[in-house]
Amino acid sequence: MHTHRQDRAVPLKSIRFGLVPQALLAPLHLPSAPLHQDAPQDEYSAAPQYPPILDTSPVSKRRRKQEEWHQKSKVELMGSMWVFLGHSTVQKGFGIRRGSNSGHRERQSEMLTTPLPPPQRVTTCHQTPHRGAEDDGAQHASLLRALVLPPPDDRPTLLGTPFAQFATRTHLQRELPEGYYGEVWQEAEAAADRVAGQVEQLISLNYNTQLSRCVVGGVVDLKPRIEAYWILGSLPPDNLLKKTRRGLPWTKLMEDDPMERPIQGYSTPTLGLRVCEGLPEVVGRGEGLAAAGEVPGNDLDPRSFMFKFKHRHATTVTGSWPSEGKQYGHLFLHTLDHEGRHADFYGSHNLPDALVHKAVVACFTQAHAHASYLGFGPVTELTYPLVQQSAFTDGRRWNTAIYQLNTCALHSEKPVDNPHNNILWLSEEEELFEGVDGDGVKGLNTSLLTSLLAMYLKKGIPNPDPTPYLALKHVANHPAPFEYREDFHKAYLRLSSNRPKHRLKPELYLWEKIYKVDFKTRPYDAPRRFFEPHYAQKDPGQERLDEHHTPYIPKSLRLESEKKVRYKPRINTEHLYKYD
Amino acid sequence: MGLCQAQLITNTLTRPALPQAVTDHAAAAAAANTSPDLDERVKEAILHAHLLDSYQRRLPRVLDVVNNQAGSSRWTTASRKTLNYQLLLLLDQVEGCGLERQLVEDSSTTLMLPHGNRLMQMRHDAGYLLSSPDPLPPMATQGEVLAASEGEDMPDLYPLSPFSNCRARDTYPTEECYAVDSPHLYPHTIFMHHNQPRMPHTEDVFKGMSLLYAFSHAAAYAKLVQKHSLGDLDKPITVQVVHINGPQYHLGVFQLNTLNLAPSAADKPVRNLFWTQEWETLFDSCKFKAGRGVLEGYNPKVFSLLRGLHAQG
Repeated sequence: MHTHRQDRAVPLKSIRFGLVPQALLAPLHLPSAPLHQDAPQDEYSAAPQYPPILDTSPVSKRRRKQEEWHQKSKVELMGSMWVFLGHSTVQKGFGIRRGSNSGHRERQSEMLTTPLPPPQRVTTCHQTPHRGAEDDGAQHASLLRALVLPPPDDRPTLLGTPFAQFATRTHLQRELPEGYYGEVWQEAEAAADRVAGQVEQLISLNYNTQLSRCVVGGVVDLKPRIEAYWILGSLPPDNLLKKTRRGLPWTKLMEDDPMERPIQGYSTPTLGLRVCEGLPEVVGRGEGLAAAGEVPGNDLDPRSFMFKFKHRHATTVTGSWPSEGKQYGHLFLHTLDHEGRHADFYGSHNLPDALVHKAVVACFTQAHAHASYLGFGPVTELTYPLVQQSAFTDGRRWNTAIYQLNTCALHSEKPVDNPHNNILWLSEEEELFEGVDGDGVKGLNTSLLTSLLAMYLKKGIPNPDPTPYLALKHVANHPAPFEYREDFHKAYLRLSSNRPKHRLKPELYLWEKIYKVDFKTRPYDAPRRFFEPHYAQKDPGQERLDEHHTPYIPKSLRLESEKKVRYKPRINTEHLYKYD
Repeated sequence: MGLCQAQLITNTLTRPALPQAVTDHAAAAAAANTSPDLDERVKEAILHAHLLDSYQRRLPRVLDVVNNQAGSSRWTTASRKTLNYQLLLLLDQVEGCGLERQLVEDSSTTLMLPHGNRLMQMRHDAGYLLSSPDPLPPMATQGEVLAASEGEDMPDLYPLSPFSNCRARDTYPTEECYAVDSPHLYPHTIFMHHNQPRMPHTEDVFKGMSLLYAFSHAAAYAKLVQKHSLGDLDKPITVQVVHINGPQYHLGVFQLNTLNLAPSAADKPVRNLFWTQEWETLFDSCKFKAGRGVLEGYNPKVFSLLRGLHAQG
């Protein structure tokens, strides 16, 4: 039995050899309660609740890490779609070195450090870069720097339409949905009667039709710049990737697994009309065509369809920077300028197919860009459908289209295994008039005029929660310091412009490949290049945009209290209230 | 070239303010405008055109030693014609008389006219040309025109000639055209988008340009569409001009009374008339501050003047 002897010190004289008193072995202070503690009662339950059994294979582990990042990208914690856009796109780059601001460096007087505000309860924004399925040294694996660019939407390619449909998961319907304009049809007919005369005048003067002047309450953009990027999975792996996978023991077994690539899409409408409320859905997001529409499959590399790799920042722009107000794209007018070039290259018999290609790419890009502004995006799936209208015309021939975006996250296996698909309703070609001669316009097609007016007059429906994943609607509302918001905003605009960089991309010269990589015959060269292992080696593809030197503050512009602060402190992008 | 030079080239007399009809309507519109909604919509249009339009391009390198505008970024969203278009839409909705007018973008007008013993050619591209099925009423009656022509003197640039900075060419294209080739439409308003990031000109030069553009369009219409001979016009042609550079708006009304640009002192000279005022600033600054667009110093007078111009005819 073990007794407590803590209060009685044993004199040294009484220690005999070989016999150590119990008191000397026991600790001096023992707790009076037993060593284990009972858990709080609410943690006990009748049936044992085991944590989920996780698959410990490398593929599953990687998948779980990706899912975690996707959840973080849901922007509830990121605060605003600005931050989301910024943090998803500013992760990688070749860095912004000091002095390389395109020759534009502001005076430091406006940017001196101010005393830090008291720490507030702030939501953190993680900048973990999204890793693709292959990120082990493949030269163009840097996610957002190496984009697969489709040809711009005004250059459709031959036989590229099925791939365009696969890449955007779009089902094509060859006529407009019935009854979608039912409630505005009478209004449109009345308007058509009123404007028919002016339309005839317009046509006879060979103008672009100015129907937009009839719409009240919308904002008209002339030639808006619309770009969107998304990550396309289920692509067959290319040879370079296969070679990389063969070379590493933990990726050998997944040599033939599908890969995913980021894709940057463009849309070049001549006119865009934006309103306050989005259009109502044509079909429910989980039923009918939206769930069971046919989408072509794909076995080929995108480069077979004239897609090109290019290093550029991924950009998402809807024709205007994010702001409150009228943001839902209502109608986009496109011209048929691509026809001349396409007919020269591929023949005029391919023009109808070219129109479908252009329509699919342009409509998806427009809708996806707007979905990104609403907080959804390449990794965050929509919670409600987005509908937009488009028209493709050369003044006389018109094709109208309605596009319903049901799914915008197309990474991993989603292009193939997805409960939703997007739908494009594209009407047959119709002529607005037959011809113009000395007497005026011949054969004005009033039914087409009515349907065009119905497209303008179609009203949107209010959405009580259009941005479920955005906590703050605007970066200006974010509680970060003013200085950070200002810098972030400028950096975002600078990145979106995709202006040329001062530094060239790191390049492995052919002589280096021969003498330093394949046949290492230069032992006296110090290994300092990016592909050679050394103490400061950094993979250029993993370089982050916040890894840069901050500007120098001249002595005359430093604060009195901070004469020793030579460089502008850099705000830690993860913890916005700390400085590095 | 300055206003005096343009006056001598176009045989024009100037007035220091816009015509009464325009200013009256502008004042009435401003007084009756109790809806702040309209101002908000104009501000929204300004913010959109100057800040929120995501068009980004590299501006040309302009070395302006005089004004020393070094240091500003060359990558900006230059305000294109978007603002003007938005304002035109608003004007149509507010004034309600514009539904029959036609708008042409990027029109080009070329005209050749004799000036004394010289032949002069003008080639002017307007950003927007608004044409109307009804002509603008003349702002000054025949009597007023004759009185002004006799009573007032033209500016004197002696020893300079008004053509001192014009280039003489031996070979030139002889095609002439007016932008809108239709006998049913009369010119109403010309919108010129200067849109230079750094304005190298003075206000006087700005005004001179407005006068030249107004003259070339009115004269081209008279000569090419109405097929008028080179002399005094029976019915004067009135044209309005709005010259824009960023926030600066210069408004003018031009009345073409004669195509005889260098009448000799013996004849009773008939002059053209140009009503104009100093340029007005629509806003002081429109910038991003920590991600939010901020518009400062909005001047509602400009929009009411535009309404005054739009309501004519």
